[in-house]
Amino acid sequence: MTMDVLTMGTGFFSFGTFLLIHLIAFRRMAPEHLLRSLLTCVIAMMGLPILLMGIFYIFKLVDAALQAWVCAASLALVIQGLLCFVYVLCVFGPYETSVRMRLVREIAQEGSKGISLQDLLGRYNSETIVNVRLQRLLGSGDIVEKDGRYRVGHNRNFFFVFDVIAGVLKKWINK
Amino acid sequence: MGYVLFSLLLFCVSVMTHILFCRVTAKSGLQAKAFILITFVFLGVYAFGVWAIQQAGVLPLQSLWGLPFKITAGIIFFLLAPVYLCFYVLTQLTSPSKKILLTISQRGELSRADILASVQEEDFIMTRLNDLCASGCVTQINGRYTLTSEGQKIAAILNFMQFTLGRNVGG
Repeated sequence: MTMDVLTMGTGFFSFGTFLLIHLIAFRRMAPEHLLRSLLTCVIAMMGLPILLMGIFYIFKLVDAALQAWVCAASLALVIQGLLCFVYVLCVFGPYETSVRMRLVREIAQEGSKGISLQDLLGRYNSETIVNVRLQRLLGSGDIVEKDGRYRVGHNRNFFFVFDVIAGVLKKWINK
Repeated sequence: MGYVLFSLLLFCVSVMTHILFCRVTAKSGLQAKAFILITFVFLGVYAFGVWAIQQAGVLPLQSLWGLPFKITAGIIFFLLAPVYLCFYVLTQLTSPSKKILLTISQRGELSRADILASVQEEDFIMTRLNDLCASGCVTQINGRYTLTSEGQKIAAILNFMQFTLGRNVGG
């Protein structure tokens, strides 16, 4: 087995383990615990590729220098991190939070007879959107509530970081 | 690590090519398909580059730069494409969570009614519903919305995801 295949395999295996834990532990998890638990799970699983590579190094699964093992562990970590990022933002995120996906499901429930706008808004509306999101954001600590007023909990959350990066990208694209 | 550096360099070039394309194109809306195409072209360039480096023997196997992480570097490049697309989509779309956070951040503190008003002002449901109609997933006949065959496929995928994830309907 080459170091390249071992690195890739470790990255994918670690992600597979994350996915398995995620599928078991996140079933029926309340929305308010979702963001924080997801972040904790991703960070906790980051240690797995390093641990696996350490074990492989001890058992000398591949004959390579120490620097190659260090690089392999780092790259396996990068692959696992990227896979987690892509899964959370492109698969789980849209399922859990996308307005479009929810609309598709609401329309699908009515089958071929369809649904009127009034009925659709009766089931899913701005009120629902705000309720679910406030629950999630309060649970993650991104916002805090005191006497019925909401404030930002911490300014270094993912939404703001993503907004800054997207802002820079937008400037470059629209120049 | 030379291969990793090479793949990262090509990824940066593919992002720059996409940005340049977005700036010159007359088409409006998301240019995600263009980026996917650019990514595959540059993945081809990467594969050719790896072959050329091997043939030329410019990276000695014993050195740090010559460590043969060819497939790993290619996969990193491949996985960076959706990461970039996530940020690119954010340049054109505002999620309700982001809207809520930014509104609270801009105004200091807000009541629930203020937050609701800001979300209503953005009209997330109608804009998304119109997008679904425009993309051919939903059709509106006699004031009633129904799924097209494309929309039914998405609904089937969502049902499968609900079965797998074991979670309630999102949104």
